[in-house]
Amino acid sequence: MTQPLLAVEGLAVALRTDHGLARILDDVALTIPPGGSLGVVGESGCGKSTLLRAILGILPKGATTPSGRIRFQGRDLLAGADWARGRIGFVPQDPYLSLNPVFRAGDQILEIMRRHAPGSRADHRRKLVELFRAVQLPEPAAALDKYPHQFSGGQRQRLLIAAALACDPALLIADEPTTALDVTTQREILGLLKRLVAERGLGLLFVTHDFGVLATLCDRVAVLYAGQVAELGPTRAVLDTPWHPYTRLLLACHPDRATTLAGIPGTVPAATAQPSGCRFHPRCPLAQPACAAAPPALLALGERAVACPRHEVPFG
Amino acid sequence: MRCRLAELLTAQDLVVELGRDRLRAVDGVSLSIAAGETFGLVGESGCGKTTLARALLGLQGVAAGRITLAGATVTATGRAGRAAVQYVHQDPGAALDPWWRIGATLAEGLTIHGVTDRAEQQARIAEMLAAVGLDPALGARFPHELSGGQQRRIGIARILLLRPRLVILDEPTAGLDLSVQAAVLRLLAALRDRFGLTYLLISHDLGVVRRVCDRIAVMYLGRIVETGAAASLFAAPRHPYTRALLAAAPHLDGRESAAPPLSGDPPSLRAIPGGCRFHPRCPIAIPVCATTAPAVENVTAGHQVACHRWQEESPHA
Repeated sequence: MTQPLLAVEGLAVALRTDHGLARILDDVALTIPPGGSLGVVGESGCGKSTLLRAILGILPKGATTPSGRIRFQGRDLLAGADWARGRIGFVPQDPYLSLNPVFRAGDQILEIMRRHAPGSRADHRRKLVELFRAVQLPEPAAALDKYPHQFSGGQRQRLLIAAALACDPALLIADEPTTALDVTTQREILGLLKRLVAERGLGLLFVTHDFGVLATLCDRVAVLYAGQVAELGPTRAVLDTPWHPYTRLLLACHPDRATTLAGIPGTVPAATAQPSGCRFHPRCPLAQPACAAAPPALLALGERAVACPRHEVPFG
Repeated sequence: MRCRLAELLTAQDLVVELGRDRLRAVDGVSLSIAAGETFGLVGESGCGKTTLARALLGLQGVAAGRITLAGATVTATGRAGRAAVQYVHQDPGAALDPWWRIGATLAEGLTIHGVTDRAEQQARIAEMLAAVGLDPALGARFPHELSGGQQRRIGIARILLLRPRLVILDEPTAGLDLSVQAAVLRLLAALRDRFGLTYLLISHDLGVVRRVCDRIAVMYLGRIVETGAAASLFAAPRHPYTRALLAAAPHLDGRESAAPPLSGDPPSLRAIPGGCRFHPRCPIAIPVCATTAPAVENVTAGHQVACHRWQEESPHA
C-alpha cells in the first residue's frame, strides 16, 4: 500500500472559552491517498473549519495543543508545519475578504511565491501568467497588475485558486469555495477545480455543507457531527445508502430527496456541553439507553465506516 | 391547487434608475402577485432583484411605471401607503441591534406602528414568539445568545407583529444548514396559512424556490425573462437563461447536466448589451438577438417568456 498523502489520526482539538473547555474535534481520523479527493461535510459548528485550521497550522489563540497526529507526506505536521508551507494550497471561502484591496493581485501572489517557491521573480511572473491562463482569467498578463476590485466575484475565486496552486502543492484544501458565488458561477468554478486537480494529480480536501457539490467533486466523503466522524466512505455509496441516522436525516432534508420539509429535531449541541455517549443520541430516532451510556466505536465495514451500531435498523 | 385569487400587488412597466448615472437596475418589469400565493423571484447577483423589492416596498423611487396594492395605485406614496407590505432581511442577525434585548427590538416596531400599550405589546410579542416556534422567555435575551435559525425566526416574528398582508422574504434561508433550512421553510408555510399571508420570495437557490413557490419569475439584468407556475417552469423551462440556471444546480447523484455551462460573468448595468440582454452568453443566439429585444410571448396561459427562439429549441432533459 502506498503512503497516504494526508493521514489524520486521533485528532482532538479543544478551545478555552468563557463557558469552559469546548471540545471542537474529538478522535477524528481520515486519510487522503495521493491524487485522491475527500469531502468533509457537516452542519455549522461540527468542526469542519477547525479541522482545516489544525491541518494548516493556523488554529486560533485559545486552542489547546492538538493531540493525535496529522501526517502529510509521511511527516507529522503537529510537530512543526513550516516545511509544508507551499506544499498545501488553500482556497478560502470568501473571495471578497481574502484579497487585500490596496495591493495588486499579482503582487499578493508573487509575495507567497517569493517565500515558498524556488526561482527568480521573473520566473515567478512567467509562471503566474501561465496559472492565470490555466484558471481562465481573461487577459492573464494584464490581470497581474490589476487590483482586486477590478475583478468580479467569480474571477476573484479564480485568482485565489491560482494563488493556492502558485507553489506547486501536492494537496489542495478548499473551504466552501463557492458559497459566496451565484449558482452559474459555482458550476464553472467547480468544473475548473475538478479539471485542475485531475490534470495536476493533486490531493483534494474539500469542506462543504452542500451534498450536491460533494457529489460532483469528491471520491470519498466524511460526515462530521459535533466534532466526530459519524460516517466515512465512497461518495456514491454514502449518498445512495446512508448508514448513520444523522446522515440519513440530513440527506432527507436535501431538495433533491425531500418529500416533506421535515428537518431534524433539536439542534447541534454546544461544544462546551456535549451529550454523553453518542453525541447524536438526543436527536436520534433510533436511540436506545445504551446510546447515552458509551460513545460508539467507528465500525469499519469494507470501504466504509460508521459510528453507529444500529446503522442497519430502518426508521420506524 | 389553490383557486385563482385576487391580485394583491401588481407592477406595470416599472423602471427604477439608480444614482447620478441613472443606471436602470429595473427596466420595464411587470408582475402580479395574487393574494395567498408564494411568488418566487430568482436571478444572479446584480440582476435587480433587491432593487425591485425596494421599489415595491416604497423605499426606492420609481422613474416610470405603476404599482398597485389591493387595487389602489401606490406608485408615488412611498412607505406611507404600504404598511401592508413588509420586508424580512437577508441576514436578520445583522438587522438586530446587538445592545437591545429581543423583546425591546420587537416592541419598537409595534410602537412605531401605533401600538403603544405596554400590556398589549407584551401579549402580542409572546403570542408571536410562540407562533414562530420560540420560547417567549427568549424576549429577555440578546441577539448574540441566539442561534442563526433562532435569529431568522425573530426576524420573521418582528415583521409579522405588524400584521402585514404581503411579506417580501430576501433569501430567507441563505447561510442556514439543510436541517435548519427545512424547519424555516416549514414554519413559513405554516405562518402563511395561519395569518393569510402572501409571500414574495427572493432567492438564487432554485431548490428552495421549487419547493415552496406557486409561481416564479426569472430576472436577468433588470428584466423578467420568464414567468410561470413553478411546476411548468421547472418541467419545461423555455428561456435559455432559465435552463442554464436549472442546469447549474449540483445534484445528489453527481450527474452533470447536458446543457453547456454559461460562459462569462453577468454583464454590468453600465454596459447593457443591445437587443436581447442575454445574447452574449446565450448558447442559441442568432443575429436578430443582438439587434432586437424580444417581446414577451405566451407559452401557455400563465407562462410567459421573452426569447426569439423559445419555440425552436426543445428544453434539455
